[in-house]
Amino acid sequence: MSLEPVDVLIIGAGASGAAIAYSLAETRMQIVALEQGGWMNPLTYPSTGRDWEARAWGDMSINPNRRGLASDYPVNDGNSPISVANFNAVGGSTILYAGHYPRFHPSDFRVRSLDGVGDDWPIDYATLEPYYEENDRITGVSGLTGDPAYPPKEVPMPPVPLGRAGTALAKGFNQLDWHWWPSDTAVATQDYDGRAQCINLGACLSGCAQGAKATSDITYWPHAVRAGVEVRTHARVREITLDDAGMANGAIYYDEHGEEQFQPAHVVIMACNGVGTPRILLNSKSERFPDGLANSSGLVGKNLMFHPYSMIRGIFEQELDGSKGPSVCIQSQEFYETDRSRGFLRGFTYEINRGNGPVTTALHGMLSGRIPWGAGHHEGFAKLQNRVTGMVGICEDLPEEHNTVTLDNDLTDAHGIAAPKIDYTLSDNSLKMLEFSVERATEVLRAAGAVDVYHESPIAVGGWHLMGTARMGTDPRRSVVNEWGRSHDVKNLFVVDGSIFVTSAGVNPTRTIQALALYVADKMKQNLANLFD
Amino acid sequence: MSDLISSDDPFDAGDKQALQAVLAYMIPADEERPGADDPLIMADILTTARSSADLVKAALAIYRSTDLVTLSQTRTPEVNALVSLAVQCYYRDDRVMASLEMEPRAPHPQGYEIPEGDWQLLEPVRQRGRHYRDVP
Ligand SMILES: Cc1cc2nc3c(=O)[nH]c(=O)nc-3n(C[C@H](O)[C@H](O)[C@H](O)COP(=O)(O)OP(=O)(O)OC[C@H]3O[C@@H](n4cnc5c(N)ncnc54)[C@H](O)[C@@H]3O)c2cc1C
Ligand code: SF4
Repeated sequence: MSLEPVDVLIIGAGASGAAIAYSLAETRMQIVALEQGGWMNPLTYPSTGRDWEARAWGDMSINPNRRGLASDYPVNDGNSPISVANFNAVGGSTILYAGHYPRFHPSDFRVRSLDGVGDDWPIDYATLEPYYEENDRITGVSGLTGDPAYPPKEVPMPPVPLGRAGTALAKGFNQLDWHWWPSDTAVATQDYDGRAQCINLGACLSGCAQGAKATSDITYWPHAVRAGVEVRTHARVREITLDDAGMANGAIYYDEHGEEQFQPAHVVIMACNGVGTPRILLNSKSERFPDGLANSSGLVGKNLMFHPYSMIRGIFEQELDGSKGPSVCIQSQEFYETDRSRGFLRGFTYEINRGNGPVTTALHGMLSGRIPWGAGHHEGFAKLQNRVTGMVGICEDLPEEHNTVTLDNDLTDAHGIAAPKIDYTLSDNSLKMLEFSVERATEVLRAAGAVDVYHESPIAVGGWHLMGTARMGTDPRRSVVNEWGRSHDVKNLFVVDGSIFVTSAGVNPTRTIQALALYVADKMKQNLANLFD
Repeated sequence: MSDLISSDDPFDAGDKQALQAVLAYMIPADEERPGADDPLIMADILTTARSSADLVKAALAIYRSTDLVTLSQTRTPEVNALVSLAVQCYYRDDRVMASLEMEPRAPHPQGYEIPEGDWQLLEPVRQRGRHYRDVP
């Protein structure tokens, strides 16, 4: 069935889809967002129940294959040491994100010029700065001005508390004379734009029932919807279609009853994240684009970047905070910028992420053999309860064409759409960086007083940052979209999610994804009269 | 559990007996708290286990063909699933939480307090000065 045409069709209502919808709403164009999930009800989030820790491995797991909700699609990541993590609903993966909300650094946009690897971005920090600021205001960022690892920037709310874990680690960093600073976070430390302040539930990674964590369903979307944007939920897009002139003319999707629908549109914007977007583009084959839509460069689905993560935890004698407090805390960028003497290029951020609840403490302790079965169980548990904290090392991943999202030949979702297949290997540079991050973290944990230190590297379930699979650039042979997100091949098709990243930086991506979406929206608004030239 | 329709119950009497023995060994009672084989906790485990009954049965089969010590040293997905099940139900029991000096409640809506900490700790970082690269 064909519906009435709309001006702008956004596919995906996550972090980037929300930001661009909000910004474009002021044009009064008719805008519809198609989202395969539904609206979340925060009162059903795990932290409202006694089984909150268990649900983080079940229906609110970060892994779509484990979750298996109707809104999810399966991902074949068998050929990757890191599995994909996401969430599919209005708000997208921000529903589960931790809310670490750092900006890129100026050097992150000039990787090839500075270090001879990867590529330079076609834009720079200064271009994005006003959009970072606008995004910070809408999202509500907490932190502390004056971080010497960044150019000056304002932060609207005070930082999340240090707590006992942050205090211990801060002292450790000071002892080694290393950089640290309270993390910029997407967690409201004061009531903000109708959202209540954080009350330290500690369950941020399975949804914030308090509304303190800035998920895009409660930040951008309410404003966009009030301004007239329609979010059509339980609408799973199969493909983007083309007219005879080679322009995108809409999307075929399955509605909430499983019925096939065609939504015509004058402009199509992809916002399905670094795996979902290449999947749909590759699935949109035509005579003009036999290898997938907007893929004359052959780069759709290539250069997948994850951010390999190391996790390093210390066991302390003194009592810390356990699971209390937001998972965000402080960070260190001591090893952020390139130092060739370390044996690898580029760098990483340490993010301190407090502790665990009793169930997670017991499970990790038992599976690692630190808490025995039998008579010693309670004593073993007492040694770990509220006594573990540590950090993750979030390592810059460089673009490599052999790290890919393709379409699986056999696996499909509930609507018969081919599932994405991930082929990914860790580079030598990443392996060296991971190892270095574990060694230095061990030093700082020891300096902070840890009596024992253990690690997991890379975090096998940690594919939560999905970037690079429809990269931006000025050269149509070397990139999928131009410097403001428009497809080189199809002039009314845009991409605004993490797919357009050229390099990944050594920080979490969402603040940059959303700033980029606002920037693309502004470019569209500035060029409305000749948008397709 | 009383809300279990008996025909839905994937575990027979033999399974339950074996499970009780495994749980009593895994997390035994002491003077301060019940063991994982406590009737209330075990009922919670049996209810929760319904969605992963095959894994639990497979773990019990390892116990039946070996012994408790061997089972405790086995690291297979089935045994890990059984451990996960046991701890998620054990460590949400009111009596167990009380023994850990935790309030027996969900985190929301009351939330928790944690200390703000001392931001003076940042002084040495401030003094070290700028820590990012210029770009061409
Ligand atoms: C556990 C976890 C922790 C994280 N922590 C952090 C953090 O601390 N800091 C940070 O910066 N980032 C974090 N992230 C990553 C962050 O969530 C993402 O970077 C961000 O949400 C990506 O935005 P996006 O718009 O690209 O995609 P998403 O937010 O993933 O949104 C994509 C949307 O598109 C929809 N969609 C996909 N395919 C289709 C289709 N075919 N039809 C219709 N709809 C479709 C999806 O349902 C989804 O809602 C975390 C992610 C996870 C999973
Ligand atoms: S700790 Fe704060 S941000 Fe995290 S879930 Fe609780 S209220 Fe939300």
